[in-house]
Amino acid sequence: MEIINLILSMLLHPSIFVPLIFPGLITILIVIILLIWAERKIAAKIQMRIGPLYVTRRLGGILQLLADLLRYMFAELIISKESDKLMFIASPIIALTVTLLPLAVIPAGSLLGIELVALKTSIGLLAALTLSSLTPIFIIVMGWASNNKFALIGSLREGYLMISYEVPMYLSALSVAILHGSLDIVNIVNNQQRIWTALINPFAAFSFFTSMIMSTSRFPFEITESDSELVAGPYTEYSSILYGLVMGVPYMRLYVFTLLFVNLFLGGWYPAINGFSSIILILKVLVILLFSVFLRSVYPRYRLDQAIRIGWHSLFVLSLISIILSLLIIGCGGISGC
Amino acid sequence: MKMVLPKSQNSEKEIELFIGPQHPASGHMRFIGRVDGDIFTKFIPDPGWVHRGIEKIAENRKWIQIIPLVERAAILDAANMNIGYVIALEKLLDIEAPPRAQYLRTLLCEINRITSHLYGFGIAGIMIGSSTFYMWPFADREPLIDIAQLITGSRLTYSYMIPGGVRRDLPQGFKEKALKALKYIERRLNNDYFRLFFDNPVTKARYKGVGVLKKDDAIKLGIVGPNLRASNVKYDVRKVEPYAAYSELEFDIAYREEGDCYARLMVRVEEIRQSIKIIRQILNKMPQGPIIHKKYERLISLKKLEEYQKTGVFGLPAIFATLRPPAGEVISRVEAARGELIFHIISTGDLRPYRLRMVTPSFRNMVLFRELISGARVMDFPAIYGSIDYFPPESDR
Amino acid sequence: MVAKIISNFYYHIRAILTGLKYLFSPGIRITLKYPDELLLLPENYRGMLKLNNDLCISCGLCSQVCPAGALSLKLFEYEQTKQVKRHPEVDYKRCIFCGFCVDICPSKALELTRIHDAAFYVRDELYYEVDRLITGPKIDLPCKKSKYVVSEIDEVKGLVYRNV
Repeated sequence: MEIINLILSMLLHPSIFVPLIFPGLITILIVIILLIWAERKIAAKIQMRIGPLYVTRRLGGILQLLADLLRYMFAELIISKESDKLMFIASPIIALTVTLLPLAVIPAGSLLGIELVALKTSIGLLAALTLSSLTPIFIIVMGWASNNKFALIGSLREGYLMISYEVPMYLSALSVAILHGSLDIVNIVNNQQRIWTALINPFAAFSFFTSMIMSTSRFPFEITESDSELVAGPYTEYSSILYGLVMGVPYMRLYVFTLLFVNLFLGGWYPAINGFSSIILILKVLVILLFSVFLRSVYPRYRLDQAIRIGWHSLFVLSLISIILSLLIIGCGGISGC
Repeated sequence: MKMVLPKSQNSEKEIELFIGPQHPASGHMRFIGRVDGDIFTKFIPDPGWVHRGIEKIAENRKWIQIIPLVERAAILDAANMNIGYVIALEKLLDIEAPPRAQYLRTLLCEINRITSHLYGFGIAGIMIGSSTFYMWPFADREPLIDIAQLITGSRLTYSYMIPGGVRRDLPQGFKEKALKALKYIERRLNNDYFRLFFDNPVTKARYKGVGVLKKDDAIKLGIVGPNLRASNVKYDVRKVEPYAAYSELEFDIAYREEGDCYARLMVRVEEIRQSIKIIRQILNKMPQGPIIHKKYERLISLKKLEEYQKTGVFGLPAIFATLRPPAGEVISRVEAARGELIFHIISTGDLRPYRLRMVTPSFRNMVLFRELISGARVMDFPAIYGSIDYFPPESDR
Repeated sequence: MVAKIISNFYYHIRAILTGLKYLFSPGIRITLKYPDELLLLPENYRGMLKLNNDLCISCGLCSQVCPAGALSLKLFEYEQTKQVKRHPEVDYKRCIFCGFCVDICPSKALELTRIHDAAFYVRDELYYEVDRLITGPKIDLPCKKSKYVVSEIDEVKGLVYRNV
């Protein structure tokens, strides 16, 4: 009995509950299965066809991704002789692990009275953004280790894009921190009880959202893995279960960024019902995820130099304007004053 | 002969790319390019992967058996290939089809022009990444293919026109169904296609100013079809040398002045609108009469005579199995969906032709790959490929 | 410059709204849910062949005109009357379903059916001898729940499938 109590109290402690169960690994796996199914169904509905249907017929084909993963496990893993074998196999695994690191500092509301954040620090926002910049490095390593000309071109494109979207993202987050006066995400969310940041400073919201779409290869910025020009960019040579992993990395990155976006700009888990505020958070995250995924059916993709130009001419300027706006609001007396 | 690029000066910092037949963006052909940073310094196409030897096979087939053979050179555009061959054969036999047959031939040719342009839109959409604009034109071809199935009995491989006329007549209730399908296509083209794709700022950024073809270059290189008309040259074989019923129908030539990829797409949109106008005129003005030439009417067998007097349809006269046209050499030109199609036939009065030569429009447009893409960015290659509407089986025959 | 930004924004919003309109409007689909729905082909469709042996006069025009060389005439012995006549046989590995043989037959002995499924488990079944050609092709339903539908052209939805 006491061992079960011990295990239960360990599991329900926030520093284990958040990264493992909610909104960590298990929730991420369920959300990805539903998200990829939703992407294909939304695209099919707009294109006047049906989409995945036959795996679990009564539910409309929801478990299609599990069938796909099962098929990947039975495929043959081909590693070419001239590739750098250690980095070829290790970089998808490291990329996946590193993508989930920001979940350590992002809060997720309160469940039954417990405040859910794994590591309570006073520089949570800075830590989350810095940890999220590690993934593109490993995507570039994937392209280099494959020893394939198309993969090399793909990883070069990822490098170019990485320079263009990092700066507006950091500047927009900085403007939110200036507005609310702290770098701790829990304080920022608690400060939005009456009005959301997106309504006060829409430039920052727009520039953060567009940088988020650029960094996770959603259309119209799906340039790294453009599958009608380069065969699959840096992921060309991957087969079998490694292919399943590398295809999951952009979706996990999208989920982590959406959590951050909702916490910074859309009020997090407020308006909070007594004790179950995380449900509101998950609903908001689902709406933003479905919108990001819906953009696939509407847009073609930009050219590389046009995307870089958008990053520097439009988004950089917008984020500078949002910093100036935040400074003006602070000088005018803060949120409650103006 | 192996296709290789000439040796380059700085081979240390240039990558040689083989965009081969096993590539999502290459169709059934291969391209060899040299990339320096983000720009193609040299680019050549390497065709021949779909070569089926149609011209050689045609030397061993009877005259009437070549009709399905020649259609399958470019099966999307089957009616135009068919009419080119049949007009050449009729010049040898020195006959002309009756007026109702001419109108029926024009009807099928224009329906085929619309479906071929919609296929071109689909390929242009998927090349720059818009999967919705890949599925929508392919879905919108279905009502038109249904219409063509009502006339001829088959969805894509029509084999409808024979020397002297056509094989079948219009069924009952055809006009209402055709008008419904045309209204659907018109509404989709003018509303949804423009809102989703053609007015989309991303599309305009990818297509405007890319792959510019000037007027003098277009004439010098021998480009045909909508690519030529998008560079400010108003040339259309249907107006220069009218065949079938085109001399009695009113339509305008679609043309643009800029010569970039967006202009080529807009020329195709305008051609679809003109084709819809032509089909509506045909359905209103169709004359009554026989559908096959008088010379062959006398050869009907007794069993088929009574049905012929009731419905006017009797199929093929038996002479076609051993048709021997007189000796001679003829050339015929028609306007297929992708440009001007030329047939050159030499006959020695035998059961089989001596030589059959077809110059297809895609074969003449292939030089645009070398001219437009050398010096362009790597990501401009799919945009230019999608906009010139190149179809490898038609070029390789 | 500002006008260009505003007009770009307007076009972006219009594209997204078109996508949302198709997402939330009731179902338009052009796919056929095969094998639950089987398409009933129209009447003058060029499908597989059927021979009417009373009318055949053994002239051989059909095999002379076939572009793919799929028809050939063979001797056939009738069981009841012990008469021997020449009748055509079809090789569906070569047939391109063009319909020239039906059109050229002077006594209308060959006719087209609406059946197009030429799929068999054994390769030799693709060659239709004279007695199978007289009976004609037949279909097995792919699964128990299959129903036939007919396609109709609609002004708003493009193509609609109606139960027969």
